Amino acid sequence: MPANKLKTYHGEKIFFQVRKHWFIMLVEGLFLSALALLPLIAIFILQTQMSLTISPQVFWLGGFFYASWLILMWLLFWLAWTDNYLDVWLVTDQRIIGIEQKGIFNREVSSLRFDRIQDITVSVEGFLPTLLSFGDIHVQTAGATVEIIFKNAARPYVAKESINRLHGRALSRQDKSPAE
Amino acid sequence: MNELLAYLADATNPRLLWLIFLAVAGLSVIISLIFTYHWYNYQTDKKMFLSAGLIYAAGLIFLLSMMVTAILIFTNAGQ
Repeated sequence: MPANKLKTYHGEKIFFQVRKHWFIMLVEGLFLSALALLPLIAIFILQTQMSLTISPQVFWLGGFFYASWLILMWLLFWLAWTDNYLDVWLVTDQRIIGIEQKGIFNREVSSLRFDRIQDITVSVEGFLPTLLSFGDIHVQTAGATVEIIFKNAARPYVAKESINRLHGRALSRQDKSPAE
Repeated sequence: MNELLAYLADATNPRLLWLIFLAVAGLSVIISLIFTYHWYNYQTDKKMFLSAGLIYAAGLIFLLSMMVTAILIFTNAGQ
């Protein structure tokens, strides 16, 4: 749990997490798989078009460089996975903690209290996002023009409803508590 | 094209391939350490962290051993 590294308030409970949709990772995975197969396709085309004869020595030299290429693709795949997996919104009973991983050396953690939320917007654009139910969630704060955005969130409408409910609950709790 | 490939295979020194292998393996280890740091510290699910780590390590070890096998067979084929 990021909560073991993340400082949560005393008694703060994490209700749910908003994560990226699996389709985003699938597209990146397919793209990298296509890149991984590219040398094989090139060799196949060369072999058929230029009647290439491959000796065992050439074959294993090619195998060596192909394995290096596959390692590069493997590392890129897990880099993309890390980037996707570590992007998360933790919705607690008091606030939204937005964690955005940008590459491996850039991480942004922002926190937004429910009493400062003014507006939540969901935008689902396009055929596949509508079909698979994923899109962007924008949370606008009161006063300043600060907005936090979660791109390609899975089930954004469900997340929006839950955040709205928690927001309402936080506001009614605030109303009940004596004025400071 | 065939002549060029045969020339390249003949001119390639296995020692150069071992050096490339060491560079790739070293880089992979450094990147693996960075991944481990991130996954261990920022994981949201221990099971996910462990299974992802296992799949990643298995794939990497397989590919590195593929490189070693290719160098060994290439060296033998050249003799």
